[in-house]
Amino acid sequence: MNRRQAFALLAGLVVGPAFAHSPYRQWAVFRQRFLLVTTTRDDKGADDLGEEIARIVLAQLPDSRAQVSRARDWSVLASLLTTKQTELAVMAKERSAALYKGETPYQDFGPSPLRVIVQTDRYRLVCRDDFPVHHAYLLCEALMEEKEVQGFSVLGDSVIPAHPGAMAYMRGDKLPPASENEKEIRRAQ
Amino acid sequence: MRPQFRVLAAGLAAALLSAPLWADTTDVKTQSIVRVAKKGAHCVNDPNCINRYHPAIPAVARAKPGQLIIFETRDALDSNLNATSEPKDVTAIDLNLVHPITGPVHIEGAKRGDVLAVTLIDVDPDEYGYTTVVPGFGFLRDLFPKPYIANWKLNRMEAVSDQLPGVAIPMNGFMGTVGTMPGYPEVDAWLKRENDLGAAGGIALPPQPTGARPDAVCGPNGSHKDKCLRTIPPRENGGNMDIKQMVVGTTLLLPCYVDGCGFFVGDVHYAQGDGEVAGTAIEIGAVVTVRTEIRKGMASLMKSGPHFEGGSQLKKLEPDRFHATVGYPTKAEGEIPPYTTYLDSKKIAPLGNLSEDLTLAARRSLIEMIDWLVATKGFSREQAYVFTSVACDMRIGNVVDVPNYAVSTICPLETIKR
Repeated sequence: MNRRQAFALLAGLVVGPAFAHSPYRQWAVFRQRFLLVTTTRDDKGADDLGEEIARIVLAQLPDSRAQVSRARDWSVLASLLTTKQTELAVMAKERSAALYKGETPYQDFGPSPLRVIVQTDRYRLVCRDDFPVHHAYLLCEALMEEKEVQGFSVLGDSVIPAHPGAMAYMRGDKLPPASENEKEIRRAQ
Repeated sequence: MRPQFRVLAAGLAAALLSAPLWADTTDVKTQSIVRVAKKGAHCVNDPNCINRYHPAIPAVARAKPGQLIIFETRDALDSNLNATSEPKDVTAIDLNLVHPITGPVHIEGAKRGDVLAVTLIDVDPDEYGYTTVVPGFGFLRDLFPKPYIANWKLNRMEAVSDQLPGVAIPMNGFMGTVGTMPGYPEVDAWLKRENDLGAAGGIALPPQPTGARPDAVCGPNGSHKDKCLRTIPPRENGGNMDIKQMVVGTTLLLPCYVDGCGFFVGDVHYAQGDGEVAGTAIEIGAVVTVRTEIRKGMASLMKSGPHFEGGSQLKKLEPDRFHATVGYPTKAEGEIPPYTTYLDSKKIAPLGNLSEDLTLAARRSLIEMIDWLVATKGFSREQAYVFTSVACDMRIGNVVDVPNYAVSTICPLETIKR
């Protein structure tokens, strides 16, 4: 399996275990098959960057079926992330920091264990801390191919930790293996 | 008495007995109105909006039987979708916010065990509505994996959409979600059966405090956060029934489980086909006017769900011209229908025919209709799916002719001007 294929059914591998017996299964069918980069209507910059990220990932890793999913506003985006209805989101730095810390206006969602995959000077591509290392590495690798064009970076953020998969890529480590759980699901596909 | 006087007297008597001109209109002149207003852009900002069911949820208004009650309602997704919305806007729907509903209203004098009779007086629609294909949701969710949205421009006569040129859907508005608050015994019983279903692999929606309203009862720190019922499934108390025949002029009979009933309204549909197959109708916010009446002690007649009654309203829903397809419970060998997958049945897969299966018959009928619309009307498959969801009726033909029960999909042709 090459790296392009390694992203096949990524979303399914990520979402599948979490939703195996989930009440959200109907909605999760789609979210299992497509890598959704969630943005918000109330932040055009985030939505535009999300489109760029989806375009790059789709070109590098076509089996990810990456595309943008645009939430109503910041509160819906936080709800989707924290209740495991979406995996990836583009958020302005100040907003992602507030959600990470559970500060205004995100106090209802509590401190949220976000991790950064890549960031620009204004935005972060964030996920939860349970996003697989294997997949974060591949995502980071795909996006950093265009770091000069998009201004992506991973390290140097003192607010939200970088995802271990992104850290592994930046250190030059080998691609971490898929977890046993992921392999099991792949065998079942 | 002279003959001519006898005729005059008889006519006068007949007029007095039959003519509505002589009716006592005192109640109309003196009636008052209870208005449950919409406040803020979304349910989270609105003290008159809830999205969970529990008997501890306090009433936001009180009304006497016979009073007009006006509900200002939100769309089913509590969205900010508008005429410019795109498919990517429907993949980020937050299930936690479905459905925002207005109320509850305490009906004075109603007790547990009574029936609340609700007559729909008027539906005044917003100017915008939408129909979506939400991936993973809908009757043919396995066949329509891509998001889609039709944005509708509405008035009180018809709806048109740039996404379905040449189609005009007449207004037949109704309350998609309407009901009464469950009591404590009902909450416990319904949660148990839904939890049991979920444990067996079925689709059930347990309480979810995130995004729940009212926050004080159902939210993350709410007094009953683990007991607040979701609004997606309809239950014995009504709720998200999505029954198109409940149009203006019909009377819905709802069992009361708590004193005052806890009556609520929301999720109005501008128009819908029987089946709502794509998962949404023409979804709108609206202003809904109803009148209630209490029928004492009648709730024991409603064990399965609400009843409703009316007169000639159903005639208005009939098409002038139609094309219909018929489906039976047949399938390809090897296929497992999506709604049976949770049963893990090894027997179903190799069969080419299932027995007494109305869902499979409906599926076959609908797919046949979509194929027909694509072939003869120039629709894309997504357009055809949306059209069937808002305009076409699935009807049960027979439930006796084993193994092939029959379901028809009937589409009104006068709504297609292409």
